[in-house]
Amino acid sequence: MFRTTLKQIWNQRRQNGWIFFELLFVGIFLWIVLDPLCVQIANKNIDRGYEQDGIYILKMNKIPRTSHKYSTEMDNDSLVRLQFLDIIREMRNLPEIESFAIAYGMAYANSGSFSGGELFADTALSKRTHLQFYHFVPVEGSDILKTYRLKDVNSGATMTIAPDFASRNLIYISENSAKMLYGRTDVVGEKCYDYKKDVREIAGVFKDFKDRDYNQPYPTAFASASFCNDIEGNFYMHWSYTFTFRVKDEVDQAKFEKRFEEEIKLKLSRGNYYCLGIERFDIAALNMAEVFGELNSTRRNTIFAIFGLMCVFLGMVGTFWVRANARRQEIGVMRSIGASKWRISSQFLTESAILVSVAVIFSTIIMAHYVYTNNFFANVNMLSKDMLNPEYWQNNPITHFSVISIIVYLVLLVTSLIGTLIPVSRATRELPAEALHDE
Amino acid sequence: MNKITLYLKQAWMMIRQNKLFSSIYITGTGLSIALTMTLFVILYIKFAPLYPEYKRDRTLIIDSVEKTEKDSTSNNYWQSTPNFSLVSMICQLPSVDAVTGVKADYWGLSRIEASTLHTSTPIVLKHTDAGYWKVYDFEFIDGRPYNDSDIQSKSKNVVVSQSCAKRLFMTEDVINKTIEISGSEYEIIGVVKDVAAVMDNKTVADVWAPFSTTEYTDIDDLLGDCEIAITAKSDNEIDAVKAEIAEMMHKYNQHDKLFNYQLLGPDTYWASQFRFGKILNEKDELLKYGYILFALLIIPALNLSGMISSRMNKRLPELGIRKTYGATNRQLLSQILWENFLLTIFGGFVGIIICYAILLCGSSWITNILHNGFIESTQLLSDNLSIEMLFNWWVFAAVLAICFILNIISALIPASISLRQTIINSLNPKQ
Repeated sequence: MFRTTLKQIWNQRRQNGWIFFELLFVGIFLWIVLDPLCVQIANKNIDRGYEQDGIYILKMNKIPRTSHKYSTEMDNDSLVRLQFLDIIREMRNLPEIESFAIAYGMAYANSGSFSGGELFADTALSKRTHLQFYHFVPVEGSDILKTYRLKDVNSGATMTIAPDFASRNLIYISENSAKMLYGRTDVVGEKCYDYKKDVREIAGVFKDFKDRDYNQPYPTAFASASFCNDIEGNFYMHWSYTFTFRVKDEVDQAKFEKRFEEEIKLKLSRGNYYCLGIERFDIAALNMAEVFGELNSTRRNTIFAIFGLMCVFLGMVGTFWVRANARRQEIGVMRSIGASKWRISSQFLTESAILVSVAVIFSTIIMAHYVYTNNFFANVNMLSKDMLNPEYWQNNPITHFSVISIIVYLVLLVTSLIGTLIPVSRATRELPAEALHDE
Repeated sequence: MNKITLYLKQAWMMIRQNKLFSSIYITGTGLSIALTMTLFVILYIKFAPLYPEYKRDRTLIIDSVEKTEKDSTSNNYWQSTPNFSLVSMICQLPSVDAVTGVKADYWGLSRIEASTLHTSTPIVLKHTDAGYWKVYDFEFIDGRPYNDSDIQSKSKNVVVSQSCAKRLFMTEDVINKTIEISGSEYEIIGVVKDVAAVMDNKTVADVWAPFSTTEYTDIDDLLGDCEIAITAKSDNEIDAVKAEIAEMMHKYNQHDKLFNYQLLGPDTYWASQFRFGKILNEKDELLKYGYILFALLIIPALNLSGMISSRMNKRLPELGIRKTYGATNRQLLSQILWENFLLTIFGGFVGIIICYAILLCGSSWITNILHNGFIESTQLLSDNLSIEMLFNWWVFAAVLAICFILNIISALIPASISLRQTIINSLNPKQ
């Protein structure tokens, strides 16, 4: 049958040429649009390392000096500090709240802010890693590890901040930071250094952490710092400190949000500060994905992929409809000598599969050259190649190329086979006598 | 003309006879036209003169200034948006028609609460100078814009959009009424026609207020937090404006003993759409649009060519008979092209419907779809798109041109190949 099919393809080479070139073009086109799409999906599916559900950001604002409501007397550094602490205590005492963290500036996940720095494993500053620092204020029970429910890399237990975190200049680092610095993860108690060779002790290693949903985990450290060991009063306090909190698991979040809007928000005005509301972490993550263009490129590539596949589908249906119609007599003869509908359909499907396979072989060769010269879709959130985790398929060039090529092949094959099957099964449904009547 | 009518009649009959083929052909064409038309609408919104930016063809943009120390041993470097003193300098240049500074919003166009005694709503507030109303052609439904004396006296006078007026007061008759924004009371002195949210960042807002009413001031001599738009007196004077600004900056740098300032621009409006910091890469961006357009046309064209080629095989006997009775290849080719053109026109209608469906469903994000990286999207009280963006002759002319191109590239080659057959071969293709 295979030889007959090949002969058939050769005999219909003029018509097959068009569909072959279309498959070839779409193969290349799909490769280009599915590569970023698959990498984005793969990155998004990497465990973010913390539990996003249940975390909120408290949004505060300040009455501007130009407003008649602005009070100069209420705006001195010591007073605003007390006002801010008062707001924190008011929030902390809410029965729905399980834990909270006072982020220094915008040091919370999906804030869009990035505070980068380097850590070194030795005083010679030879072993290093670039990482994102999350500075937070460890006062009033503020615990970023507990709020994010970060897991210890070795035991898997939820971590909490050590009580002497600030006084001992401790630091918590992520699994990938530990591997970059020491090549292992059992590094609690080890010393690490900043560029000034100031020493810090590692208090814990947590599982890899993703700052934004569409990124891969970046080496991260949760650290205290002299500038944020306590809350300092200043004019921009509502920007300097961000209150993030987790509600208890048993809390109905919708009810809590309603209660916050109607009741709690109004109670949080102090001096010139007033509360704008709360934002859920998952909404903040979605907003960030929108602002940073990740949702945009996902939409674009999805639309283009659907367009390419629709074209192939319609092309296959159209071509094989005409072809099946032209071969009605042949189908009639085959049916009259006992060939089953499936036997006839499978011949057309094999024709279609051969066309797709040959087109994909050529398009893959072209794409191999393309990625060799232009590279794969880059994961932009890494500073250097050595930071890429080889365990993710998208970071290994051979696996990456193979996975995308297989996906392109399968998507194209399935679309083409469905496109072929529809007109062919229609043609085989005709009674042999009717088909032969035309002859 | 009679011949064409006959061809079209015949094509109509064929459409009715081969419903599946025709519907596949029309859908395939429609799909291509829909996406190509969407691309055209996006580009139209991006570059065409639209309310209130009717002077885009003679607008220049400066969004960034670089500052370096004159001391050659220093590597210190600053880059920021310019400040309003640069606006004052530019407005004195002879070829400049008008210039405005619009306060930059680094965190995207965030919404703040505006309220009256009875209601409150989140709005987008924009702080500008008085030149804003000369650079952009806002249509005032009522009242007036704020002027230089309002700016100097820090008057809390604002202009609001139609939708904002309706949302806050349930009427457009809102002159002299007050609204409260971030704890400050403002008096409404003007109401303008809504701006579509997909327009340029500098013009989209629900409320416009004098920049002098904000509490944050300029950072430096030329560094600050405003973005500048300049209109030349005519599009022929754009180069003159650029030269005058270059000369002005040269003199300014000679005068300043410590620092050198360099403007990242002025860019023409269309070029400014492709600037990312120091990099102005309009050629690569245009090439990207070219590749997309090529893909949107070539893939369906191959698809349609395949279908036409298969159908031509079936129609060979008919063409053979026509040839026997004296029809020339040219006449037959013309017939096939007309027949396909009818199908393509139907596809065009389908395409327009799909395109409008895409635009309306994705009105908040579709205009950014080709953009890579950081997105500035705005949620206004007004609609995302306006009628003049969707229904205009340029877009319809583009659709017709696409139909024509698609028809030619998809039908010409397979039809020509089939018409090369001899009469005998055509009459009995199975031999």
